[in-house]
Amino acid sequence: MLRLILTLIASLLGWILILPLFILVFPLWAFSALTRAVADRLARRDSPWDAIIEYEPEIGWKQKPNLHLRYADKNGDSCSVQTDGEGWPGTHSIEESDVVVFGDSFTFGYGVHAADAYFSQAKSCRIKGVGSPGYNMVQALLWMRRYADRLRGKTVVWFICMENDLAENLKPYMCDSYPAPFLRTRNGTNDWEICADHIEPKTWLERETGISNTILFAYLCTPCAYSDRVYAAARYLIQEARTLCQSQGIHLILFSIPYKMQLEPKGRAQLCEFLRAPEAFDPDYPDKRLSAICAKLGIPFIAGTDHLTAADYKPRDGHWNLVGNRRVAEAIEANLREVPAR
Amino acid sequence: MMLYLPISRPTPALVSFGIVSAVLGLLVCLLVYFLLLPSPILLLLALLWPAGFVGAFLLDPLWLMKPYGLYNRVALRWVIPAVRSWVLAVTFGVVFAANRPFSQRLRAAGGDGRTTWHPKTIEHILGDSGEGDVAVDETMGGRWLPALIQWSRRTRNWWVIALVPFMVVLRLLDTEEEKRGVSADTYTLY
Repeated sequence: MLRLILTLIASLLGWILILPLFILVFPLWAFSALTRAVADRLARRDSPWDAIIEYEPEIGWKQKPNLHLRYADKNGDSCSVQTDGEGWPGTHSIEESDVVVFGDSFTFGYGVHAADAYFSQAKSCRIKGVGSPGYNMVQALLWMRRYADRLRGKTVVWFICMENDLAENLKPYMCDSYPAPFLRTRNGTNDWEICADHIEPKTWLERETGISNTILFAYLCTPCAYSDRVYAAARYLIQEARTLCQSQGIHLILFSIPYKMQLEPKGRAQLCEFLRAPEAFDPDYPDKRLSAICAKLGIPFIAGTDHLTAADYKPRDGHWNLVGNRRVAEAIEANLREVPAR
Repeated sequence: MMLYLPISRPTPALVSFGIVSAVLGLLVCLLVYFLLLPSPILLLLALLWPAGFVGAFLLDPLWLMKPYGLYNRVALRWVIPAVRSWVLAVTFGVVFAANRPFSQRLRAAGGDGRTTWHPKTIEHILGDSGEGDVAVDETMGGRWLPALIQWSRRTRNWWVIALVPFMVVLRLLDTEEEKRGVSADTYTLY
C-alpha cells in the first residue's frame, strides 16, 4: 500500500512537470487534429474498394455491376467509376462497342473520373474496357476466352502494363495476398499451363513479401534467365490469344503501357541501381521483346513509349492523368484507321 | 494525440492542410488586429493569407506538399522526440525513483569473469505468477491496458496502475504505425 501511495504522489509530481510541455505542444496538436478531421470529412464521400470489387471464380475478382460511385485512388484523389450490367467500366455493352480493351487498372480507367478515362475520350469509335485493377495477362486471356463469341468481328486491344503484368503472370497472388490465376510449366516440360485451382473468395492471411515489381521490372529490362522466362510466359499467353482471335475473326492488337520510371531519367537511374550489371539495362528492352513476339505471331504492336511521356502520368501515381488518357484514346483511334477494313 | 499529419500525404490531407492553414491564419490575424494591435498591415495580411493559399492551390495543387512536408519534418524530427524524451525523463527520474526502495537490485557481474546468465527453466517458459515473468494474456489480443491491469491485480502490483497515464502519453506519441510504407503496387480490393 505504501508503494502505491508513494507512486501516486510521484505520478502527480510527474504530471506537474509534464503539464507545461503539453501547453506548449497544444497548438501543434490542435492543428494536426483539425487537419485530420477535415481530411476525414473530405474523404468520407469515397466508397471503399470492397464496395466496388467482388469475388469472381477462376479469375479472382471483378467490379460489381451497375455501379455509379466515387472511390479514392492510392493518393486519396477522388475518382469516379461507372460500370455496366456486367461490372465493366462505361455504360455501353461489349456488343455496342467497336473496340474492346483487355487489361488491368489502366483498362479500368483507374485514377481519373469515368468521363475522363480513355474509353470516354474516343471520338470516332466506341471503346469498351474489360479490366480490373491488379489483373495480370492471364486474367485478361481468361476473359477473352469467356467473351470470344461476343467479340467476333471486333478489334481487341490488349493493354500490357510493363510495371507489373509481365512479372505477375508467374505469381499466384496479386499485392501479396489476393489469389490470382498464374502460369506455370508442366512438370519436367517447357509447356506452360494456367493454374487457377487456388482461387478462393478470401484473401490469404499469410502475406508473401516477395521482391517488389519495381526490382523485377529492372531485371525485365536486361537480357537474363529471369527475363527469358517471363517473356516466354508472355509469348505463350499472346499465342493463345492469337489462336483464339483467329478462330473468331477478332482483330488483336497489343498495346504496351510504359512504366512511369521508364520514361524519366531519374526513374531509369533508380532502376539501374537495382541491377548487378547496370550496363545491361535497356529501358526499351521489354518493348523490343514484345515487339519481336508480336512480329513473329503476326500481331500489330503499339509501343506506349511512342505515344506517352512522364507528363501524361499523375504526379504521385503510376497511372495516366486526363491528358494521358486522351493520348491513349487517340493512339487507339489512329491505329484503327490504319487497319484495313475486313 | 497526433502531433503530425499522414506521412503518405493523401490528397484530402493536403487540401485539408491548406484549408485549416488559411482559416487559422485568418483568425489569428483578425484576433491580433482587434485585441492587440490594430495595424492595417495585419488586416491586409488577414485578407491576403487565405487568398494566397487558395490562389497558389488553384495554380498548382502540389505546392502544398512542401509546407506540409516541412510541418511533418518539424513535428517528427524535433517536437515528438523532445516531448517523448521529457516524458521518459520524468517517468524514470520521478515515478520510478519513488519505487527504488521497493525494487530489487540487479546482480552485477562479478570480477571473476563468471557469467550471470542462467538457463531458462520450464517455469519461465510456462510463465509464473512472480514479478520476474510478465506473461500477457494472449486471449486479450492487442488490448495492452486490460492485460496490464489484469497482471497487476493477479500479482498485487497495484503501483503499476500509476504508470498507465505515462504509458498512454508515450503510446500517443508513438509514430510506428506511420512508418509502414505503402508499396507502389498496392490496391485494396475485397
